[in-house]
Amino acid sequence: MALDLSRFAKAFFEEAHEHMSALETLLVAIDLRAPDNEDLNAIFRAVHSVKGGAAAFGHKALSEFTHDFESILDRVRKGQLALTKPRVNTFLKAGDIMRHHLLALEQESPPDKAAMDASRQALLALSVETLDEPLTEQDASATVPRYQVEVHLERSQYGADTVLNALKEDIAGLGEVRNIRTEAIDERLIAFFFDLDTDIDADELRESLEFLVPAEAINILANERRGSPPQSATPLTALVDDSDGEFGFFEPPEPAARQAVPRAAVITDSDVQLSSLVDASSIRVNVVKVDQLINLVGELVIAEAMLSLSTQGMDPNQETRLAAGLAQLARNTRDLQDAVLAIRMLPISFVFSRLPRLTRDLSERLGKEVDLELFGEDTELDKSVIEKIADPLTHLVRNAIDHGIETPDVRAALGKPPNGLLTVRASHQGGSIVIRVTDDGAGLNRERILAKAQELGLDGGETWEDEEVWQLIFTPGFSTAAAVTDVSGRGVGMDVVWQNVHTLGGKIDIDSSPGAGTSMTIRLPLTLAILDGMSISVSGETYILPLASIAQSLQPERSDIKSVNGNEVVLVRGEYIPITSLATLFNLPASSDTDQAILVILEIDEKRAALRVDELLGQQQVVLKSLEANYRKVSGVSGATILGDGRVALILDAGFLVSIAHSVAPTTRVAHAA
Amino acid sequence: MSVTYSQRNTVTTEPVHEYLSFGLGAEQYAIDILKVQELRGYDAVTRIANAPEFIKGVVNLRGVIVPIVDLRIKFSLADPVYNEFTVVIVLNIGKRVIGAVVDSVSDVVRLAESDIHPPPEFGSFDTKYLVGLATVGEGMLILLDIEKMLSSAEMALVEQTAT
Repeated sequence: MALDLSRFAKAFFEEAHEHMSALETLLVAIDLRAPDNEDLNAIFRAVHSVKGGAAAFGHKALSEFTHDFESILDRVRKGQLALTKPRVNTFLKAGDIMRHHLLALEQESPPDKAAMDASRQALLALSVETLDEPLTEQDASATVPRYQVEVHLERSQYGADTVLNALKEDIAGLGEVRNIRTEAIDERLIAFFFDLDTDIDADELRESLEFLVPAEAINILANERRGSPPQSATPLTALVDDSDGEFGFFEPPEPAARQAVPRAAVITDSDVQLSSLVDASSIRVNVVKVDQLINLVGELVIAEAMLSLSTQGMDPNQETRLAAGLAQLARNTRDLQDAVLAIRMLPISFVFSRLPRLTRDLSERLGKEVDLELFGEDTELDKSVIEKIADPLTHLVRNAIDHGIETPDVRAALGKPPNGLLTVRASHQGGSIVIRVTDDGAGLNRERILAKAQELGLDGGETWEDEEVWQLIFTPGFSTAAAVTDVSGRGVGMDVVWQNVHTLGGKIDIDSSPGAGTSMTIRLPLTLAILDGMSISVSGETYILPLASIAQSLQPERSDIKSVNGNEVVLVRGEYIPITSLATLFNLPASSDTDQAILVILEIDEKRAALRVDELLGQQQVVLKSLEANYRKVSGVSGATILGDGRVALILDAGFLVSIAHSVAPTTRVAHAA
Repeated sequence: MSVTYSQRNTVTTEPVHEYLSFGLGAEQYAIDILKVQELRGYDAVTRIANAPEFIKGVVNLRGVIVPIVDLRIKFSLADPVYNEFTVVIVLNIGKRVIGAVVDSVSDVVRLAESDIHPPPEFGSFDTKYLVGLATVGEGMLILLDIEKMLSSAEMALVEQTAT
């Protein structure tokens, strides 16, 4: 039994988390004055589904909690309890508690019982509030439809007894169970019957049972003599099964067994099945499998490159078919690579979805009114980028609400509408993704930033351009917030945002005007799996430099190279830039002819360094590979890739090279953020 | 443990393990064959900057970047010659894949626990990576604990702080 259930436990947690996300999204979006009935039902169902699963897996505390929760939600959807902001807050809180509880269960750590009890009390308090709205007799009977359930179990598949026991436990948690009996249908199948008195509707009952048995094996008969049939079920007249009585892949049961469930009232699953098949347009795949696929395609690309390399010398007129075949192969390989990389792309709504809740909680706490508008939620970017951009983006939104948007009275005094407008927009621009967070708040305060910079002993003066001043806020420890709140003002955050964005190879631009608002623009590469690189050659070794970090390359005149305290610098456009020799840094044999050397000017965060290389081999897109998977981190190297000839080439860490150059040689222009 | 050399082919119930034997200079070594993923030639190795001398670099093994260690240099046993006969034993060490360069791969030998003698104490030689010695025919095999050795700090193959 433990073995069977553990297989489902993972599915339960995954589904439960999805339900909780749905719950939160729906609750945040709900219109308090005119809540949509469908939404209320969906909210109820989300909690209810978790309850069913929790009961099936024996998570008693959770199933009891969800039971109370759903009782309240049930009243809400029946219109017996009006939705108010504090009530929605209580529900959101309860949702959080469930989420934490689920996480704790999943990680097998002790859940926070006190918090759960507190939230449960709050929920129960809501139900006390409504005692003066008594249920009518009719309501009461309508909430308790009676079901006759027939479940078919396959004997051979996995011990029918095990499933049967789990089922019994499961249904016991759903309501009052009577008349449990089993009958053998044939050698293969056992029919399991029970009557159930419960206040959940047929769909939900089915959902809870589907944790244990396939959908096709469940028949639920809603008994008409107890009030109206469950609202979500199809009218019974429509359910007359006029086919030959088969449902799913099961053979028709013996007539004796069949009699227990009157044919006209059997809700077969065929309709439901069909619709869920149509909905199943996406599948859940482990990322490891996708990465494997990407690896294999990468190999294919290399093999294809080798093949075309070795056939380069042939006469295309003589080998027409071979040449055509190779061209076809090349095209298909590229298409395949694009298609495979697209699998890892996810819509940015994965990150955006948490913003409405954040905005709601935060604006409430700060006494501000904020309208959040999201655009471009379908913009796709690589999964690894999505994971790393979530925190910076949350931070920018938090900052905009805390520092940017003013309180309603201040806004009114300024002649602005009382509700602040916060816009988050994602879009593709060329090979990068652009995420822009715009508020119509106070804007950045130039004087205050400069004053703070002085206080911290940073460079910065009246002559600076606005853009340069704005960049100061990314300095660690920098905060101009008047008071430290639990939201922001501690000066940690913006530097972390900057860090995260830069490790992703992106950058942030700030545009702000006093009184009109601030706009922060994050630019990111679409994927971390592919890099635009420049292959260079040093002492016979091939390396890749990220193209984004290269400002220019040049072959310097001997007179342009000067020496400062033994370190070489080169004069480029009136600026002395320290020269780093990769050969020295990596202990490679020095190349003989330094006159022919080419300098590649790298630029990272306004800092420049010149890298001496022997040759520029060309520009190419490379697939990033981890060096650390089987080896270790190598300083100066950010990863590896495989070249067209099958050899490994190391990808240089431009940031490291620039900082090395600056640590050995004094810079001519001190960077302000250092 | 009392060690006696038992004839190979004698019927015993004790478990028999398979070892891959290989040559480093004049000496014959053997490692647990379950750690071996495959054998391949020595080819197209990309140097890694500032790595110890015995780490030759990395190669592309079907899309995976695999570091290559030359055991001959590590043990200072033979002049490292790289030609078409140089063999790389690709090993699975924990979750990592590591290639080890040896002079030649000899054989797969089956050894029972009782075939393995504990290594004698050497004054200067470090025996902590040795499982023991085994006599096979005329020769002697030195059994290495390759996993322990390659994941040790001195090999500098694995980030020590990471684990």
